[in-house]
Amino acid sequence: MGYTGLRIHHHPVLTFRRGREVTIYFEGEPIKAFEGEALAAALYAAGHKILRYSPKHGRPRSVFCMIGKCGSCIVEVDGIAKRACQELVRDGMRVRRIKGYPVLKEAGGGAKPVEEVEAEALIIGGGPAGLAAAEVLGTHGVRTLIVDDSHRLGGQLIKQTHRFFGSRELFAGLRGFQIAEKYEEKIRSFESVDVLLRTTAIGVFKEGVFAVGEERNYVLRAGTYLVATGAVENYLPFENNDLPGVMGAGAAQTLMNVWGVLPGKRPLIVGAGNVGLIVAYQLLQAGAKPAAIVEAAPRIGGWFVHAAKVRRYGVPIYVRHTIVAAHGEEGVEAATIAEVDERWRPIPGTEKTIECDAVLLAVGLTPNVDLLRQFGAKTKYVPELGGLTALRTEYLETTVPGVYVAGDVAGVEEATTAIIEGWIAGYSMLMKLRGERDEWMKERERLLKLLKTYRSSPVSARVRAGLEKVIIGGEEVA
Amino acid sequence: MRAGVAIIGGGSTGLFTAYYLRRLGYEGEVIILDRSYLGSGSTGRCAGGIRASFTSEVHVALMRESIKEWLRLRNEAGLPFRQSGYLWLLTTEELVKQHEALQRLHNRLGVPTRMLYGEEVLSVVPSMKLGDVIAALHDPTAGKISPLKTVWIMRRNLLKLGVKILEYVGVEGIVTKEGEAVTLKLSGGGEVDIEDSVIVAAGYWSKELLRPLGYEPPLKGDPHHLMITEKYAPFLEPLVIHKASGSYIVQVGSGGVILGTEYPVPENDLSIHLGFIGRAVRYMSRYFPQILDANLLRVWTGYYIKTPDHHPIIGRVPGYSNIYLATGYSGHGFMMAPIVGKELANYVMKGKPGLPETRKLVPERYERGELLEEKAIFG
Ligand SMILES: Cc1cc2nc3c(=O)[nH]c(=O)nc-3n(C[C@H](O)[C@H](O)[C@H](O)COP(=O)(O)OP(=O)(O)OC[C@H]3O[C@@H](n4cnc5c(N)ncnc54)[C@H](O)[C@@H]3O)c2cc1C
Ligand SMILES: Cc1cc2nc3c(=O)[nH]c(=O)nc-3n(C[C@H](O)[C@H](O)[C@H](O)COP(=O)(O)OP(=O)(O)OC[C@H]3O[C@@H](n4cnc5c(N)ncnc54)[C@H](O)[C@@H]3O)c2cc1C
Ligand code: FES
Repeated sequence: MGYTGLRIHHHPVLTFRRGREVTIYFEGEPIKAFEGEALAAALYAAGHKILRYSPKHGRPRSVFCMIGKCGSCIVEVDGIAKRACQELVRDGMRVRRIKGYPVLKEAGGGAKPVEEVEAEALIIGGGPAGLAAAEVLGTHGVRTLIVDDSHRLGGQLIKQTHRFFGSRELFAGLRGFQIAEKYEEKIRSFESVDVLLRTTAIGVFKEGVFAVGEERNYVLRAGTYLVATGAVENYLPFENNDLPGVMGAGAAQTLMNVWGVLPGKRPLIVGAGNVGLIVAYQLLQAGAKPAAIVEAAPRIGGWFVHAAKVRRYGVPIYVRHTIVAAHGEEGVEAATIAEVDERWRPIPGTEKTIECDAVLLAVGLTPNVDLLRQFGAKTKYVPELGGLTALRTEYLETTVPGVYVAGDVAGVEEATTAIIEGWIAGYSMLMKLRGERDEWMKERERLLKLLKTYRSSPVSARVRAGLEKVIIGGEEVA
Repeated sequence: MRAGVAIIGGGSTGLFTAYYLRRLGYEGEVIILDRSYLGSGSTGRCAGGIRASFTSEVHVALMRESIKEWLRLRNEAGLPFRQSGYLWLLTTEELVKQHEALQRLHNRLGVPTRMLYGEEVLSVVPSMKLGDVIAALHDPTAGKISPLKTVWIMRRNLLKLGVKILEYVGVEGIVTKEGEAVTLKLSGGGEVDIEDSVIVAAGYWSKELLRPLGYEPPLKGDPHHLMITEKYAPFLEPLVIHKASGSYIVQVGSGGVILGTEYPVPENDLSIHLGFIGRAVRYMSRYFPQILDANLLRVWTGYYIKTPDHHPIIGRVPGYSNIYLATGYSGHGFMMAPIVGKELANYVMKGKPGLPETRKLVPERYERGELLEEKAIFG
């Protein structure tokens, strides 16, 4: 396959620092790629959307999450099954598609070494919430370790090219990725804070938190823990929803804003909340032309300014519509949308077919609570906060003493509130470790007030209602 | 609510008992009650291994019969039991001698196990490395089935057979009158009036249910771990056991690879230990180095419900004419469920079990000092 035009060469705000050009082989065919980029991005850019065939029905599959969570990108790299979105390009690597299940082969490296690490504070997740907590802990010299499965600190922020809303004092009109860069610099300046990147905390065991890294695995123990693992994207059932080109909006952002590869030239976006609108705008920035945005609700959920911007560029927004099918053989070529009734059921006879080459799902996020549950923290299903989330005190301690939450995992919200929560959790952890002090208590109360101010607007009514269901008194921390 | 037979516990014991009651022609109302969801006890946590290669005559005979049922149930109940065999890896001369003797026992009781020496072992599992294995005992009648699938399929079968299944309904007490169960008290305040019998199939918690009736079965909750990887192309048919360490590996029908090992933890402590993973992988990667590159999906714990002689307690509860108990399988209760279910149905309908071996498992054996012996417990 030749030139696809999916590589982004000019971008108004981003510069892609690509590695040197190398040659890799896909199904024996040479492909130009850049060293150090995600293998999945390189293959996608070269037009190889189909990465594997599903085991039971042999259906073609491509990237869906781009963060190592879904498994739809598993390929054979030099004979070993790997997730192409997590594997970085090396010169000469040989990649094959997998039909059925991967073959389990001996890689020859033997067992990975396991390192035991003790810290005063362990922060799982280096997004805005985790970084804010680390800032407080680092400032006070607490021995802190951050683990994050991504290759860079910043969580969702590294994928955001727009200026952040609702956060004037906090980031003064910075773009998401710039906030991440600034924060990373700051965190790296603390001597007592260590960072493990490309390291996934996979489980909480009697002996500690087990984390899997590139070269080695870790058993991590600490006096206090912060779970700041963010949220995961929701999926949507419709015909052919597994066709290559159908992916989460976050995956599309990772492809285009982290790796400089367009998910498509005319993607259809499902969902007109802030995420859907922003992704549409980011696609325009990157040189694509979204085919349309469909939204099942009668109104656009995201901020008006974002919607206006997208409309100005001529992207139609269909409210009271949903996607009912994607079409295509080896990838998305079109999609059928239809009007919905007040119970969000498609109305027969209202179908329209729209030409598009990708379908991006921006239909909400769900708190990533797995580790919290493994810690034994009590969780509760709260739709207003995105699903299951942890019961916690105002100061963000869960029902397990010494285990804290902050950010989207504590309820899907925004970076501003994630940061303030991170600070609050940071002070709570500091006092758990060092004892209470007036100035710290005062600062924490000030932050609590600040958080309330941020949440006082009508936009936050839903979040406020949700929080009422999960905030518990200190005596309930078992 | 009224029931002909009320079954307390929706694990493999309860499900198969209900099934065999219908198959043997029981026409009254059959109700299964579980305080959680079906399979939430040990059943949903087990490895799904099925074998007759035990070290005691009672176990060998019961499992020989149970495997006949598993085979019949493939067509009759749609259960995808796979007769893929067990392979016991032996790494010392002493173990080899022991297993040569076991083979003779098995063969005498009609279970055609055989010894394989040296390279012969690889004929059964070509994907393995021989390492320090001297010989192996192969049980070709053994096999595997997914316990979760079994629960789902049995639920469907039972609903078709008109069995009532009540989940998230716990039994809080058994009301008796003159040595007979008359009513069950349920969580939430409901009651079930008993026409014929009560089957106590509540695993470890059977103890709590029966204590107020003056009988306390000698049970211990012994936690065991298991782990499963992501799905891979088939590379391993039989369940393979490293006898010396009590470690085992089995690839299940969906492609995941399950590993288990002996990893002693305190009684009733279900927390998950990393040390378990280390030990299981250390032993089994000697013979299957490819597992070092597998992605781990889940690790969990569950109870082996153990009795003093490592044999189940099956029979009428002492002092009561219509309450039956079956538990204490010491780690092998899933594979026995068809035969145990059949025998409990026999008890209910005929007043006695069909096999002489089942009679040896009555609760009274401990008082009488008629203990049985089983040496092959692992994982
Ligand atoms: C398109 C879009 C636009 C947005 N725009 C705005 C905006 O304009 N203003 C605003 O305030 N907010 C905005 N947000 C929301 C904001 O980005 C999030 O609310 C915020 O990033 C949440 O921060 P967090 O630290 O809780 O989680 P995240 O940023 O999601 O960070 C979690 C981190 O944890 C890591 N992680 C998860 N599990 C593990 C594990 N087991 N082991 C190791 N690491 C793990 C993840 O890789 C990630 O790096 C936007 C979000 C999106 C998607
Ligand atoms: C890690 C592990 C691996 C194993 N591997 C194997 C194997 O390979 N092969 C094999 O044959 N066996 C194996 N076993 C053993 C096997 O799981 C058990 O012997 C078997 O499942 C017991 O089934 P059961 O129905 O008697 O009990 P359970 O499955 O424990 O069912 C008891 C049920 O009773 C319910 N209950 C309890 N109290 C009440 C109450 N008061 N009211 C209502 N309901 C109640 C519980 O909710 C539960 O669902 C393994 C066990 C473990 C833990
Ligand atoms: S795991 Fe790679 S795309 Fe989801």
